Amino acid sequence: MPLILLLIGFFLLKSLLQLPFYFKRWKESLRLAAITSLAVGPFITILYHETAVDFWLVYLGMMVLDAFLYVYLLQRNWWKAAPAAFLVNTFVMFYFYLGNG
Amino acid sequence: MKHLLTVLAGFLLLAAELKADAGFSIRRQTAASHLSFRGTASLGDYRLVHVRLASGYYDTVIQRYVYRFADTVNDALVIVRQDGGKRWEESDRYVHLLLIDPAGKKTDSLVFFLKKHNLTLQITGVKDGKLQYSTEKSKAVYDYTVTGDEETIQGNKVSRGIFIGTSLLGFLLLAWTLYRRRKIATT
Repeated sequence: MPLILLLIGFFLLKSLLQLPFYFKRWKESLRLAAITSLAVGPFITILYHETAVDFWLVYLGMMVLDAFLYVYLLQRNWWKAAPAAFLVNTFVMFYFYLGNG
Repeated sequence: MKHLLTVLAGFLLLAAELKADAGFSIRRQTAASHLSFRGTASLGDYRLVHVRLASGYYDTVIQRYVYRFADTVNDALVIVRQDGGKRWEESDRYVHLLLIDPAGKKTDSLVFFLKKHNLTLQITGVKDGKLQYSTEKSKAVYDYTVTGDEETIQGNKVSRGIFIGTSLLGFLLLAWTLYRRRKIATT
């Protein structure tokens, strides 16, 4: 999957799905979506093609990382961060699999 | 209550582990392995052919292996083993080659295993009906693409570097954002 498509897709999915949860802090939410897409997207592509890591663990790791970031950077509320992280990363994973096969 | 939650979490993790075996990561595309040839002109009247074993491999009635001929080897031929996954999705990684003399009889057979490495077969000639050759091995790498243009695949090392660099930049920005936040919170 081309890098640019990966990044745009990750950013769009993350920013759109985070928006209903963190509408009041939408600017920070967008910035976080951009930064995490940049960090996580290419990283999991490398993991996917070069290692034999179990992708259920990667999926879990991405959710934990996102939930942690939502709590510490957007709003201190785990009950909001957990479903947001689950929803965002589920869609992101689907997109990743569509692109990488 | 705490114990119950721990047990539940354990079950969930176990379920995830089992499910992983059943389908989440089996479509992983591994780097394609290539087998290419140099110096096929030195074969003379001999012919090197790439064969695929027919289904069943060994015929117990005629008591010999059954082959299906695929290609006559030349310098332009590149044999690729692309498919790969886990367990039942694993493709046939073996490449079978036969050396055929001008009369059409098999005089030599070779088997190469292609996985994670590219092989270049340097053929130097035929001696007593046996193929004389040396092999060069190089690591097979996945073709990363930075843009949608297929021609950029050639710059694979650069693309790979861009992927790693982009990810590093993202993690650095993330660390910086977290660092800034903590500073704001403490002042």
